[in-house]
Amino acid sequence: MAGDPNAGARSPAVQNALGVVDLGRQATTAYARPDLTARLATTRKRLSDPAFHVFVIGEFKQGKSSLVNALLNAPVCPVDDDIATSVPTAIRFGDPPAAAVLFDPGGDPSDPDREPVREDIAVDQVAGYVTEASDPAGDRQVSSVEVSLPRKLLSDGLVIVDTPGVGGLGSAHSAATIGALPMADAVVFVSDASQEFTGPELEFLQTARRMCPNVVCVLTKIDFYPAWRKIRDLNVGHLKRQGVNSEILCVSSSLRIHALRSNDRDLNRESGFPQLANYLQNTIAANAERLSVRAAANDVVAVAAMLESQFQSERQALDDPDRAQQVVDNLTEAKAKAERLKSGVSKWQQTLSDGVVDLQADVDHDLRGRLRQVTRQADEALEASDPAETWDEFQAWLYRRVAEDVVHNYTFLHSRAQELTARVAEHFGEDGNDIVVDLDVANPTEVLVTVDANTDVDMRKMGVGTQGMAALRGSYGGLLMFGMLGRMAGLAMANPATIIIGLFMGRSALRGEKERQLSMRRNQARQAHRKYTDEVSFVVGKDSRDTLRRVQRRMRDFFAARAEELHRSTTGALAAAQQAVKSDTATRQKRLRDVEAELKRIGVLRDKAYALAPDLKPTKKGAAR
Amino acid sequence: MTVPSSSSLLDSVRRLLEGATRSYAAVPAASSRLQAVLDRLDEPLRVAIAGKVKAGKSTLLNALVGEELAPTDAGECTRIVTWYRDGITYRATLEPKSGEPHQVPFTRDGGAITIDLGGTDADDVTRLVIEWPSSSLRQMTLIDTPGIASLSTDVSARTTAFLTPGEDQVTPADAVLYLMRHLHASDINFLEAFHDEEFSQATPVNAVAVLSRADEVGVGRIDSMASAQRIAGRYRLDPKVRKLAQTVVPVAGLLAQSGATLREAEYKALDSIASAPRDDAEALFLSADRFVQAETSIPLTSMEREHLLDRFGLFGVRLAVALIRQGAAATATALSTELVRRSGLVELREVLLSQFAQRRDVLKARSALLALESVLHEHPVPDRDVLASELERITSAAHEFAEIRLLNALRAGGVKVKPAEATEMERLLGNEGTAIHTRLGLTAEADTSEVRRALGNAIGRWQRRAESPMSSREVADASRVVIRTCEGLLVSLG
Repeated sequence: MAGDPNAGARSPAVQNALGVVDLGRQATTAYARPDLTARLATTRKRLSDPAFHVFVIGEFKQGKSSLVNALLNAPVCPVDDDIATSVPTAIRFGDPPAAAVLFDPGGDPSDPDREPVREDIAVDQVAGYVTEASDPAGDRQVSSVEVSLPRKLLSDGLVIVDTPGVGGLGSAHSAATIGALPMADAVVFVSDASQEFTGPELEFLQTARRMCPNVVCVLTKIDFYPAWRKIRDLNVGHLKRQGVNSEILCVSSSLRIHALRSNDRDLNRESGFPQLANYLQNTIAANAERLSVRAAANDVVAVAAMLESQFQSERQALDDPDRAQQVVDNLTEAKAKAERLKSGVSKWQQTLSDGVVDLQADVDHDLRGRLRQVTRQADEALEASDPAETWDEFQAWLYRRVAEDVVHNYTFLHSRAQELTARVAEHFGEDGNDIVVDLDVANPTEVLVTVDANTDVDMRKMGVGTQGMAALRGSYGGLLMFGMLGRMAGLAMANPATIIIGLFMGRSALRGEKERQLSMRRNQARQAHRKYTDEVSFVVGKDSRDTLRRVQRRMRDFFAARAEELHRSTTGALAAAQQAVKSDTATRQKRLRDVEAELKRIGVLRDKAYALAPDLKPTKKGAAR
Repeated sequence: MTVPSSSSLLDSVRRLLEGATRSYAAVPAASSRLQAVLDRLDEPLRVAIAGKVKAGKSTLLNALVGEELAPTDAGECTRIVTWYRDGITYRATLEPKSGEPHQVPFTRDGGAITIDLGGTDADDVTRLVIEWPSSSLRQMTLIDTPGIASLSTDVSARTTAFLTPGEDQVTPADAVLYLMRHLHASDINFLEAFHDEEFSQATPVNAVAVLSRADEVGVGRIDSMASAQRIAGRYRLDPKVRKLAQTVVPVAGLLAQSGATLREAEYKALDSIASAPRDDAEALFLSADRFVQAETSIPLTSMEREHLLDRFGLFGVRLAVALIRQGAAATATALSTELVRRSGLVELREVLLSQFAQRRDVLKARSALLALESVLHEHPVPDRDVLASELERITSAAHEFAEIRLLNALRAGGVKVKPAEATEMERLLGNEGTAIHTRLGLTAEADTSEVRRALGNAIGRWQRRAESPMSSREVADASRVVIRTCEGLLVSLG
């Protein structure tokens, strides 16, 4: 549409797809199907304003922020020898440049209506908000920062997210990063050339890969370390042993900055950034684009099938008056089924509501089990030491252990929610098929099933499932996880009194008193850590319940809309067929010609959609009718 | 009241040990252990170098020796605990886990020593001992350790083990250098750098944290060392670090190693870069690859340049060239001195040889007594009660032990006093150096009457603190330890 400011920047494939979607919208408007028009409007929006997130992750001080700055040729992310990035920064396309800070709203963490507070800032102020040193935010906790920049690289919808550095698996920051990864379409894993991957780094990489399989490794600072080729080869070996056959991109941010400043092409090539940009654009962005064009084509095909079904039934009734009554009967039954699919008693609705209840219980149980284990270990540790001396380390250990468990719990929730979506999609498909059989038209769900059948991710084999997945993704807290874990670390833990009496007394003197005090301290420590895990259990439990509620709502809305479409189609088809039964031969002949013409028009629309994604086209049987 | 000087403490410990050795003559296991403890009393300071993988342990060791002995590599390198000590001849001894120690052949290839383990698996070796005649090793025996590779397993067990104060155990080293690369202050791994099986019993009085590879902090910018100093300063004030180490020193290991072993030919090569047009030099400094491969008017072959880069790193070359240009290093010797000074090595050596060496006798005496205590506990002999009571007498009479205990407690935050008071207590106890003027915070020129006056003031101040009804018992006790230290100093003035 004309109002889209970014449309000019879209690639030909997307332009083409937009044209086909618009054609589809004209058709749905002409045939008075506002439900299908609305569906295509959503499709159009997704296609014309795509966003795919690339997360830049890695350990502390590996040059992540420098990499982002050099890639975009803009000093957005502050770089310092000592002070590090402490909140995630998302950089997307936008002209003129702009920036905004999202604050944690404060208040009770368990309040379900807490939404981050958004505040616009100047782009050059970003540095102040994202590092741990200066703090113009005052007491308010910054949960993330968003920046828009006019850069060609970003114009296709690429969003680059610079994350705080992590220190091995289990620190609060790494937990938050991993928690946000289901939002990522791709991950850039950064490690500098000073040394080969360390154990914790590899472990972190593995966990990240489980959350987002699309990972590329980047070796930074190759201008400074002469042995970077050797390190690269060692790292490739490490990856191979982990079962990852991936090359490693080697870059130098300082060479890139220098090259851009002096306009030196050779130097720019040496910096390795053209390869990285190329990878992001031609592999990640292109792949994301291919998927979104395909999804759009899929939507148009499904919409065409819905429209077609009406005319197909009508044609049958018109064509053979003897069979007309049978067509009407079939359609009546199909309509009843579609009504059931819409209603609360349908199988998919049951699967969804039961599934969410089960999932809720399982996730809760998982969290409790994990925290109980932590409590037990904490008690053991306290029993073996004196809290007065070990409290600080104990506290650090506890935070880290709990953060780790929360992430595992979250991963569990993530994978189970995916399974549930697939199951709901499957049940919806079964019932949908039934209706389609009665309709005796091209099966729209069959088309859906073929979508993405050639991608290697199992979950995506389901057409409906894929779209469900997209809906699911939006329902995660995502970046909010950073804020949540920050609050968890902030929950106060009372320090047991650190009286070290008798430090300078004889060893045997006051032994009884010392022991009494020690056991008192241990008791206080035990109470403190129990209170903490209680709070965590409360906050995290609340959060996962909210997430599940969002998942349920999204799933329900999504499948209910599909059911509504089927219902409308059967209703329309039935009305048309009944009309055909009543009309005389002359009217029937005339109408038959019209219907044939309409069917041809819809056929053209569908063929255009297939042209967008040729592999969608069913082999023989689907299109034969 | 007289305070036994540390040498007299060492003498009485030695006498006690000799007596014990005689009593235990019939128990070979015990007597050999006691003999080892006795021998250790006369050895130079033992400094262990510990830290995570690739923290630059071997490089620092070479810098401290002033020779390239330990092999260094871009990949993981040191796999066996290796002792480097002064000797009459060049010799390498392998101590297997089972069996007798035996000499092993070694070669010296391009500087570093390569040991031929003769088919013994690295896992079956307890340690390697390299004897090497060297003036640096005469001052201190250095222990190179393999890096701590895996950090995340069994954290709780190790946390507990680590936190158990090592007061009842004998530490194998007199001082431990913990090497850490620049890490996140709020990160737990920061503490994990201190977790090490063998040397985990280190206490803040005998451990120094080294911010290693300090030149990498600023990715080789010429002001990198200033950045590193700033970061080390921040760590020094961090309570978590205070609890673990006496101080934090930034060291650029590679710079120190190459500076200490600078050759005349290398100086000439660096000089030729310094005297070339600035733009030509800058073009080389763009990246490590360019430095070696770029075509340039500077009369150095690619191989020569690669050698320079190998030895000094990009930061080292940049710094050396800048120093020559500024005229701060007109000769190879001057450059060597300047590089070593800027690497932070001098400061580290100062910390080791002044602060540690001065406290060494006390630490040695302490570990000897601990060893004796455990021998007495394990092997009953008729003389045991006599030896035990003598041990108890020395332990309770030695004010040095009370000082060490108080220092440890202060650094662990176990004595609740104001930060300024804690600093003064630590200084009076000799944390920053044991010379009287240092302890009192006076300049070296202060005359005796000035010192006497300052001491009198300190004693008065802490007396009031000790007797104040507001002072808790621990503070009062701590104050009394400080007062006794000051009185001892007063006596030593004569």
